[in-house]
Amino acid sequence: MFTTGSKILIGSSVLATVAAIVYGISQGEAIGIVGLISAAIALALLAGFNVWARDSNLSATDTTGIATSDAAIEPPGASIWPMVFGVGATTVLLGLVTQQSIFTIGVVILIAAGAQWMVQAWAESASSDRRVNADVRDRVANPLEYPLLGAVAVGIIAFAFSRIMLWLSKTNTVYAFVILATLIALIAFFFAFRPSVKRGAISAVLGLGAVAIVASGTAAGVDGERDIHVHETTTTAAVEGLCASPEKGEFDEKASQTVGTKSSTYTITLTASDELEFDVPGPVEVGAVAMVLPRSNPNNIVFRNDSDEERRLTYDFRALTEDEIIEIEAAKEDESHGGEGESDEEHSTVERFQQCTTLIEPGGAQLMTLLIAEPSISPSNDDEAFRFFVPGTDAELEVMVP
Amino acid sequence: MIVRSATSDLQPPTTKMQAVNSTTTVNSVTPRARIARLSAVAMLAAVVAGCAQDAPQDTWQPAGSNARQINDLDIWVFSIAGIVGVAVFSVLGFAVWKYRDRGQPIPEQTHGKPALEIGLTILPALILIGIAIPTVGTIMDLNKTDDTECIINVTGQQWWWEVDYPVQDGCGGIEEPIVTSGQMVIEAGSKVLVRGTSRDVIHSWWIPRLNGKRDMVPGRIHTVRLEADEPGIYAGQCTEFCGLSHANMRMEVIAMEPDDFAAWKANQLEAYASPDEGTLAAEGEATFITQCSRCHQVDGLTDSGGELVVARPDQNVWSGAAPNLTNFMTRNTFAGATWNLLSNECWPDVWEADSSEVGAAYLEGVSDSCLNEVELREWLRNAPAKKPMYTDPESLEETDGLPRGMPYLALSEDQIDQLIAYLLERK
Repeated sequence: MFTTGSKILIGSSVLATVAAIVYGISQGEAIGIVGLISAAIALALLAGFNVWARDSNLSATDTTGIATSDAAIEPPGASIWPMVFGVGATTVLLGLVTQQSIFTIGVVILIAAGAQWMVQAWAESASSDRRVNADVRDRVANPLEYPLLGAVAVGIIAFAFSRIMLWLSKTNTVYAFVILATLIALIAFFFAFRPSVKRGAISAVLGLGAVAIVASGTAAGVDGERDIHVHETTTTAAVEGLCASPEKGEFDEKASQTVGTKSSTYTITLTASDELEFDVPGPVEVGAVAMVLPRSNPNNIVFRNDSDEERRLTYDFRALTEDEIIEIEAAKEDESHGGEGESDEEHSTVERFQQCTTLIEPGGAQLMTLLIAEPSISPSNDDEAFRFFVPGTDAELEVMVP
Repeated sequence: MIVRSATSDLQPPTTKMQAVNSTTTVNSVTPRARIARLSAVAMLAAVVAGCAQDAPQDTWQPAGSNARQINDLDIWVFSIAGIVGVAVFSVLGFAVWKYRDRGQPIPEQTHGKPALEIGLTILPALILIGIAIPTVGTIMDLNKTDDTECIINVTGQQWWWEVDYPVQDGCGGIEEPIVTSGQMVIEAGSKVLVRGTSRDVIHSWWIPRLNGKRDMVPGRIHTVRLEADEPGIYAGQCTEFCGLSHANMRMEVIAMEPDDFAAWKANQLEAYASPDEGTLAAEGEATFITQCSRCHQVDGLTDSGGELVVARPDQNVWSGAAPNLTNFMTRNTFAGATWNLLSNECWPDVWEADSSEVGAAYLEGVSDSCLNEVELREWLRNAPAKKPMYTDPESLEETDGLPRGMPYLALSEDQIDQLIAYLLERK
């Protein structure tokens, strides 16, 4: 009853089922079980199909059958797409029990393989000539395949290149980029001036280059990005409670490079005698002792450090509420447990809502954007609020917000 | 146009058809001619409108040194442009008429006339130099800030202007910031520097009779000079399309004598006085605290516990600001200076007052008898129905649920009565 081919497939299906049961009992891991059960189902389907077709065997005496059977007609060429489609289906199933990205990849494979399979099957019915059928298929599929494959290839190479760049140190990325660009230019010149070079050689060089980049990118991606240092900013400094400190925090020797806005800014300068002076767009209000800043509007303020010490400029909004303090402390606690092992000594209790620049080198400047929502008549305006000050000095500047 | 056949009077009709033609009126106006006539009438109307004398936003009627400089430059540039235009069109017309196609042979073709070409290069260059020198000089003069005598900040937002006076020795001395909206009060003859910005989109500040327009860009601060020769009220409006109610974003500059200006400043900084207990205004104060004070600041207002009431428009309006109503009835327009607070009967007493009297008239503020209660009531009843604004709660996703403009507050008529009574004391 069962043909030889069917017996192999049925046996394989049973084997996969048994393996799934054994694996499930011994390992209990879902991915393996799903894979094995998928294989068992696929093999069972193939076995059923084979039983129905009886291995396409015909009796040797049935000469008519031999001449007219489907097997006697020139079969279509081998196709990889059913297998790819199966891989896609398996990937979709795996993605369902693991993660969405695998599921998405599976869907993409499924759609691509399905489309290719259908186009190929459609083209194979065009005529009995394989070459003609192949042309028909190419005419339909190539206009879509080439741009898509080109985009995918460029995307893979670009992504791999980006991994390499992120893996190298900042300095080495420059060297790598220069060397690679030079290499590409030289090879291009070589090919341009030697038109006699065989096409195969050009393809080989380009292929090798692409493989090298993709392989290097994969290795770099696996190894991970370089340690990218996050610079202290006016926001982080405030949360870390550094604004009231004249020393803590990171000294930014390139702070002046952050000043991109050269006009429409207020300027606050710490003089050599540790006093704060301010300048505003247009003439300074004559005799003004307080700086008046508009409410609910971002104010661009450049802090210029003309003293001979590293200094920061701090703006004090108000005292934090108890709830806010608890919230900040809890956030810090979480961060120190999950972070890189910073010691608790580095944290100071934040009691006031402040915003500040980083520590600025003597002669340096940094831009701070300040949005003050409350007016200075606010009940939260205690003695310390609504003022700029420079930690470590007596310099301060009253702020009025109408 | 109806015309009668000209031939009918000269010769008697000889045929039946001619007889019919001779007595039939013919409408000879073609559609093209009709359009041409309508266009001509429209153009004439536009030209004639330019001659209007009663035009509060007429840049051709400068009322200060800055606007006068612009006007002088305009006259010079337009004169040159006019002469050039007349000359070019005259020569063009002459050439077209003189050399029109009458079947004559094509004249001799020549190539290049160096003297003419050089002349036609040098002449425009000289004309442009003649325009550029006074233009650049005027631009530089209008950007001077070193002679400032008073600094006033303006901040645009959809769709009103906030005006604040920072602490300074200028403006005759200001010891506490003054915040108002819609109307800027200045001292006549004083060189004022306006520092402007915006809280949301680009707006443009323009008081045509006092200076040119200046865009106010969020995140930037722009300066513009103002100076009024005489006391008076000078109207303006936002001149950069800024959204739904751009046309309703107006402003005025009120110039007054130094003494009047000093009185205005003193009044603006007067301590807050609560309404007398048991009055409608006192009820209005309570209503104001519950319904209005989330956005509108009244300096010095305290709640029942004695705590200062601080508005937080930053939490309730997309722009982050709402007009300060501390001295609401000292100004005479509201809602982006779009509607008058003064009734039609009282409005001319201030707006059409002689320059010697306008300051005193303005300082009187808006009294109960002069209040334009109808429109103020309409505004309080349903502000978005009166002035188009983005306040529909259903369509505020882009602004995190915050309205742009004053929303509908569902105030009862009693609450509106109370609020009007309370606001009438804000001066």
